[in-house]
Amino acid sequence: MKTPVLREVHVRMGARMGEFAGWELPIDYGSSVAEVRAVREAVGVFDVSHMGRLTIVGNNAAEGLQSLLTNDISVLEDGGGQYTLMTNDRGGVVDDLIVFRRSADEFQLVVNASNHDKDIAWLRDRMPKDVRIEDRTLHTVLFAVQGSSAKDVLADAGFENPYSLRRFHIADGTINRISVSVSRTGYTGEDGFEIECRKDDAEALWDIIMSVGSRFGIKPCGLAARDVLRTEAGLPLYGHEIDENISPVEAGLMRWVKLSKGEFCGRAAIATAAQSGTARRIMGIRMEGRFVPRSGDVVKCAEGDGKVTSGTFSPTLGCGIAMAFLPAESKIGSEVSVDIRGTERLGLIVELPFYSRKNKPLEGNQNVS
Amino acid sequence: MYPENLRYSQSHEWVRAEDDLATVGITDFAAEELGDIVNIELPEVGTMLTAGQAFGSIDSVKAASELIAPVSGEVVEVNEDLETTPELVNQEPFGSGWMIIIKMEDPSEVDSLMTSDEYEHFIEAE
Repeated sequence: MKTPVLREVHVRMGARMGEFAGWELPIDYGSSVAEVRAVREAVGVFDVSHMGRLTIVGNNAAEGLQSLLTNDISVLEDGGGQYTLMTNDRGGVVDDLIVFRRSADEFQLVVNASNHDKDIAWLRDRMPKDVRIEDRTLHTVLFAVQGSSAKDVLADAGFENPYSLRRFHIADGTINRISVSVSRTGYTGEDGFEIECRKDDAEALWDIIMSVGSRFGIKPCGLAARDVLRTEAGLPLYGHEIDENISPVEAGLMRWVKLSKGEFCGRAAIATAAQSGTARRIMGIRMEGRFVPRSGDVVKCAEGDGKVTSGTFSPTLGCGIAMAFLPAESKIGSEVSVDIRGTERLGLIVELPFYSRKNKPLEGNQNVS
Repeated sequence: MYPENLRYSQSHEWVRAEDDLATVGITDFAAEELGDIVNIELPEVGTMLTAGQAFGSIDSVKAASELIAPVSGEVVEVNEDLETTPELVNQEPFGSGWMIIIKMEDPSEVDSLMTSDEYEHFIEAE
């Protein structure tokens, strides 16, 4: 099992470690509910060094990626990035990832830890032969600083103007003389940043973030809080809402699929599914009360049966929530029942996401697009 | 370290017996292992329970677990506060986080449960 560079630091801070995607990672630091609140109300920091970080270099890198990814990388300027999917020829999702353009012939990918090896093999088999694929994952670390105060933490830590870094953009800079790359991205539904540095600088960078962050009430956060936050934000998790047999049409991710950009792997199958429609679709379910749906629970709705793909208790909403595959013709606002350990519990089909910071009152001034 | 006036089950419930009434909860060890508790489902008053049988369930952020009756008898009281504030089990597992009171058929059943010393050894071995 792989261990994070800062394993001992996390354990010293009270982390309970658990296994995820072949890594031993902090699950929580005592209270995942308090960690969720810290991110929603102020700021939290996650060690997400398990995420795969790949550099793709070569004259034909852009062309190669454009033929394998669903979003249109030709719209990216240097320092720009986008959420995108890598799909197979059946239109199923090989992985979901973020791609950044660093220059015309250099791109960076951030991929799921669970798909790291598969993605590298997939790219090696399909990218033009003169394109180099470098794996930075074990040479660097990645910290996600998330929440409305994240920008102030970065500014106070000395990072060059985090306020002007646009959403999904990446910039190089320094924090206390440590070289960092910072992107305005995250997986929580809040404003936030992901900061990469060399692994030798990991502890120094973590310490700066924690000590500067303490003024803003920063908390170290684990995977359990991360899963709650992404579920509240309606963000898919590979293996749950998406996998190799689920199309972006079913997963509700067509915003990130540009059928008009030209040929790419999976395009024909996705276009067919988009046109003919699919039998099922990912939707949100908000439970009446505190009952917690879990992945795999059966959902009964007027149009037929469905299945929970991710479920949790939402501390932000104060009730159970689930993302689920439901019959595509199911209607927002209809009542459903979820079989939770043999008992039918009522819920409502709702629009995703469950939580959006744009709807949060009293939100501070934000420099995001 | 564990309250000496209580008895303990291998599934980490505690019992405080007074005559034929047994108050039941889960130990701080179990509460800590579970992490933040977000929902607790308890039986209705009047439910008959057999020792070893599930009497409810407990959801933490991570997972759901069963609650196991440590003694047999009738549920005569349920801690209704846990419906809206299940976090009491994390905060005061031996106090306001109690779950149910069972009117025992056979109060001697309590003697087969672990003492605080035995429970301490039991969790060290786990």
